[in-house]
Amino acid sequence: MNKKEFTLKIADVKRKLYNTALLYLGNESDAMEAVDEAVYKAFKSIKSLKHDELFNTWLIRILINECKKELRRKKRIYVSDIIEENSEDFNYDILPLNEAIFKLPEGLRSVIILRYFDDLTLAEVSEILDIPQGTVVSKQRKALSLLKMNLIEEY
Amino acid sequence: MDRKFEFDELKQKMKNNSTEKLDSLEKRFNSRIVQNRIRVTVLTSLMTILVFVCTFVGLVNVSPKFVYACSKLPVISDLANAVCISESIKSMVYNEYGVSLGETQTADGIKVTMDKYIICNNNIYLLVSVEAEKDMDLACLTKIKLLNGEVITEGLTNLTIQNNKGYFKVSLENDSFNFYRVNDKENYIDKNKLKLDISFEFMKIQDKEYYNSKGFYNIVNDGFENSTNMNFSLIVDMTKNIVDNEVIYFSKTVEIDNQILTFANANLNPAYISIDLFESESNTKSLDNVVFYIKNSEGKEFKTRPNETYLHQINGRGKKQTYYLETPYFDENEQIYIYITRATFLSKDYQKPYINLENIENSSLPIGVELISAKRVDDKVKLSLRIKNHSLKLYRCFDESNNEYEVKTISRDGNNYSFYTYELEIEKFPEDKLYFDLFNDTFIEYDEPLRINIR
Repeated sequence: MNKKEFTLKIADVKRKLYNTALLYLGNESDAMEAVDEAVYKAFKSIKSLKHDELFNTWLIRILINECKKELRRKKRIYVSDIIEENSEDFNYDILPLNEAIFKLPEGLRSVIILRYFDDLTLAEVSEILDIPQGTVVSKQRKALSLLKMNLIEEY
Repeated sequence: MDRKFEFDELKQKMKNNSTEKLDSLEKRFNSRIVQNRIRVTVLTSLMTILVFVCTFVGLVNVSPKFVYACSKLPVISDLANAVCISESIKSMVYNEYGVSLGETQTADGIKVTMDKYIICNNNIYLLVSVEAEKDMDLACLTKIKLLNGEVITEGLTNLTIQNNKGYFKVSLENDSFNFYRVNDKENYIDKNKLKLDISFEFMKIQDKEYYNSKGFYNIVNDGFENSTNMNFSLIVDMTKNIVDNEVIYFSKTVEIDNQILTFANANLNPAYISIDLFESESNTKSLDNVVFYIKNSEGKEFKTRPNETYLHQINGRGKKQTYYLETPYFDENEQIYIYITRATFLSKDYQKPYINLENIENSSLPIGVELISAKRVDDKVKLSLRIKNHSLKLYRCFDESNNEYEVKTISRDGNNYSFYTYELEIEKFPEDKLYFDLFNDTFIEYDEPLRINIR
């Protein structure tokens, strides 16, 4: 894939990338930063991508890693904002949906964003997060129940 | 509020979000790509010159002297350090952990043995070995059902049969336990005995690179020669043979970019290996993160676990970090190598600069960091800070007595590539001098990974 093809593809997916990072990180400047870094990393290592048709999955995977990295840095600054994993007793339904998603434990948040906002299939989410499809289904169900979202679960 | 309505509204809002922002993002990408291209061009030119010089030297000096000179070139692998962990890790896993099963089934030339199960930290791990007449790649769809018929896990594993043998591990982890009510006594045949029905569907992979119409790797029966089904029943006593972690004590110092690091104490359990990393008190920098992976003697890589919650820092300041890695399925005389690929530090130059809130002129800031404004508003301190170095990020804020304060980043404007402007807010900061650490996010990358050998 040459530079022109790369930039064209990025132009196609930039909105999706930005929205994913925004939901994941909860604020615009961090989302812009994460997308910027992910695209740059993708560009630098584009040769490692053996199959061009996997470009979107590959790129979203890089983005999710960048978002996680950003969150890790943020944890040092505002620890109290981060809800610990397994805090199932937290009352998510008092928050607006985007904030409730941001408060979800990381593993559940990725699944909800990728499945319902990026409209990816189970196989694609499983590929991106590197977890079995069964785990994606269980995390999806758990996240929906925490958010009190009665969406149809597609398999 | 109706979540479905809220969901639709949020999706719609995201579809219509500001094109201005997206355009500015695209400009940023393009600018960085151009910068990268210039850098690559310069590097390529330098490489060309270097190749020319080497060729020239080669042509002129085809002699032992030249060979000798080459052997004197600095090689990163010189940094490699060998660490010997006393006993075979394999014996830890096989002889001291878990409950032996040895239940075997054979079908279509594939022999499957459930070797043993291990209960560790409320997780169940099932170790399975597979034998076949010839070497091949297999995919195995594993389903585990509870006594009440509920499928609690379903996952696909790829395994390679080499020298007629292959292994894989089925994990039932704690978080899914709670969710799927594994602890519900209706799934127990006895007071403490959980019954699990395990089915394996083995498929011989005809073409490893099988992609669906969308281009994703997709495993369906069309992609396989045959399916072989096997069903096992497993009764697990949840109160017996619970494994504790096993620690192998060792200590080995390595040096990266003048940073003294000590790898120590491999904590082994069937699910992962954890390895501690200490920094020395004499270090001039503070370690933030080291990225490494382990390889077994067959060359298979095992990375740090993707779930970040397993990674924790003991005191939050990088004095000791514990890294968790997936555990390979160990074999006889296994050797494991740790490859360090990069490390990130908190540089001393950026530790403890301060802003004097009473007299801003008397602040002490490092090169590249500029204070635009600092003022107290009620209980809060509001700061505007410009940081020129793209790789510097705010790490923490604290007072003279080293009490840390929560900092809210109101905004971080990075549209100008040469600096970031932070707008920060700190609540109830009582002191005059506000100290902070800036984290230098510059990775140390090696052409060759640093190698540590554990055997």
